[in-house]
Amino acid sequence: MLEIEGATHRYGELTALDNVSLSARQGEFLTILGESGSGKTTLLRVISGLEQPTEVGKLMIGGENVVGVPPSRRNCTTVFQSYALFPHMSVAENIAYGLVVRGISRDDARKQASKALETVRLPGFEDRRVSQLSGGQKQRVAIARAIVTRPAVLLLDEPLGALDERLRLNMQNELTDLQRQLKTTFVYITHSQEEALAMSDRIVLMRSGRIEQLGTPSELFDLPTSTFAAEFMGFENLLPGVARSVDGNLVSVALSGGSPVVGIAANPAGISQGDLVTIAIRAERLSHSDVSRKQCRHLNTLAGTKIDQRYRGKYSDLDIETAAGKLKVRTWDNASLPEEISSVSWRAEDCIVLPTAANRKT
Amino acid sequence: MAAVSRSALSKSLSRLRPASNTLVNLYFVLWFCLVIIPLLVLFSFSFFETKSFVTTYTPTLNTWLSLLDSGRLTVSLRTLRIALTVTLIEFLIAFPFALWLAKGGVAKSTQAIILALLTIPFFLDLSSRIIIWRSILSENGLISHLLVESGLTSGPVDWLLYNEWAVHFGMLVTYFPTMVLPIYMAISIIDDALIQASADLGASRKDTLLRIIVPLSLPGILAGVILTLGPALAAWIEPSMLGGGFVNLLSNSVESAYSALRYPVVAALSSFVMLMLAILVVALAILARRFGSLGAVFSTLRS
Repeated sequence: MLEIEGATHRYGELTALDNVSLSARQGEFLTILGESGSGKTTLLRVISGLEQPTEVGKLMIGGENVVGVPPSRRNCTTVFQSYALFPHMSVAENIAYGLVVRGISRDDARKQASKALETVRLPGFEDRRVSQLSGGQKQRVAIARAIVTRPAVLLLDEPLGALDERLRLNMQNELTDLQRQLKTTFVYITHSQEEALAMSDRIVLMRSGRIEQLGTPSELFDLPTSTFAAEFMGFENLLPGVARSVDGNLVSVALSGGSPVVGIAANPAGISQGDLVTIAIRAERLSHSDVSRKQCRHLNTLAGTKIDQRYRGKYSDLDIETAAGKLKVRTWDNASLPEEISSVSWRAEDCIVLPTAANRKT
Repeated sequence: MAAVSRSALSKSLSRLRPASNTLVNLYFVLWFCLVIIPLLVLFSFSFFETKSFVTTYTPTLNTWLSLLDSGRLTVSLRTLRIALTVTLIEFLIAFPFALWLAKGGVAKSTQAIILALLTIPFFLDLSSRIIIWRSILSENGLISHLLVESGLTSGPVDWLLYNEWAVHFGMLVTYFPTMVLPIYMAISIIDDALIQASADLGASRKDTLLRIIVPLSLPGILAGVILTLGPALAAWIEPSMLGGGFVNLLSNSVESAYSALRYPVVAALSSFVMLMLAILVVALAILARRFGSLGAVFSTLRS
């Protein structure tokens, strides 16, 4: 449905997009995740045609080559971050706009606009003025306006950014429902990893104009391929070490202080013995209890002492000082917090071994 | 916390409200005294007449009726024609210029320079700006001289000055900034995202222009037209200096009636000019409805 090969875009000296290739299937919910300045908005504008890329090998939307084609002739529409609703038109006129400029009669366009309003759960809003709408309603009208022309690809530029949290969670579910109902390819931009994990079929993690990692939400969440991806996806604990041996995807690592641990690597071929590596562990996957877990093939254990404890409501965070460095442990059982802690342990599957950036050849 | 600050806010707002009402009332009183009352006095003067250089204060329609004869009707129609032509040409030049300046990718610094240059005419007296054109356009002027020197014409050209063409030209130069500036302001506050959204939804450039840009810049267009049409209807310097007495407009009639101390005629002529302007503006507002509701556009300016 969407295919991009070798897209590069420069604003003067700045390279906003650096040789990006990616594709999306029919009916896929693809999320482009990244910080501001990572090039995600530029990528979206290159797809919509609002930006002409400096270089592009291939750009296909709905099976049509759209290199050099103006945005008005591309089979995709955008839901803008600021909604960009036309202030001098009613809700129905806004939604019908894409149909009217295609020469569809006013009556037909209005009927389809009413249908689109029902799809986004705003029936009866046809004659409201844009200025009378709340943020969430504007959002829905913007979506209705973009889907009414039945585009092959719908581009959404941080559409939930301006909404408050409760509304944002509701809209996440509504958007995924809508996407399943329409079977349209969604390309969704966000800087929030939670949004990306909750909504996407696949996630493209971007960093300074390049794709850092591309995969399903669980791949990005459980098996990041770089320290950047691990940090971005919320791994609280990153510790430096040296690779001792590689066996399949299992890597033995010596942490500073000499403690040996075993972890898994997403790309074991990229790690060889003696390499500097970083291990990443989520705080909630660390256990402070001494209960031995015999069912685990590889259980890593480090001796440590509690130096701080913070109550967070649903959970508590403990800071543990170990020979390899400070670790954050998250525990959901606030009732049975031990006074003293002698060690922390974690499973090898929860310990991700990453090549340290300095090793990487540029 | 929030509740406290909100009540504090509404309290300070309610303290402000009577004050702002006073200001509004003050405005109405001042504007009424300084502008509306003199106009009403002027208007009432048009219902008197002059007999042997003395104004007689008995109400009569004679002065208004006299506008119809003695060639004043021809002058009125000529004034209207020239003012409308100038306004129309001005709009056709100024709108694309303003659009280019505001949305044509012109660098901000260049925009500032162009805007500053547009205000230069306001520093100079109009008559000194116009009189320069006499030495450029006249039979012995610069252009004629250059044409003769280059051999493009056999003799001096005399049709560049002292005719309607020259008057149109002078007025076009004079009123360009007053047409461009309001339109530029209106276009430049249109969010770029709206223009992009229009293209993204499949609109051609023409559709985007007619359905988005023109409707949203209507307040500016209307302001530009009023600021140009009004002075053009009352133009005095261009017709006298560049028309050389061959192009008589209403202002010249006002001038001659004034020097003849016929104040009721002055009053009637001035009222007539204002009446024409009012009719034209109403007609324009009705025309503008075709592009979208003006009220809706003005309400978008508030948000």
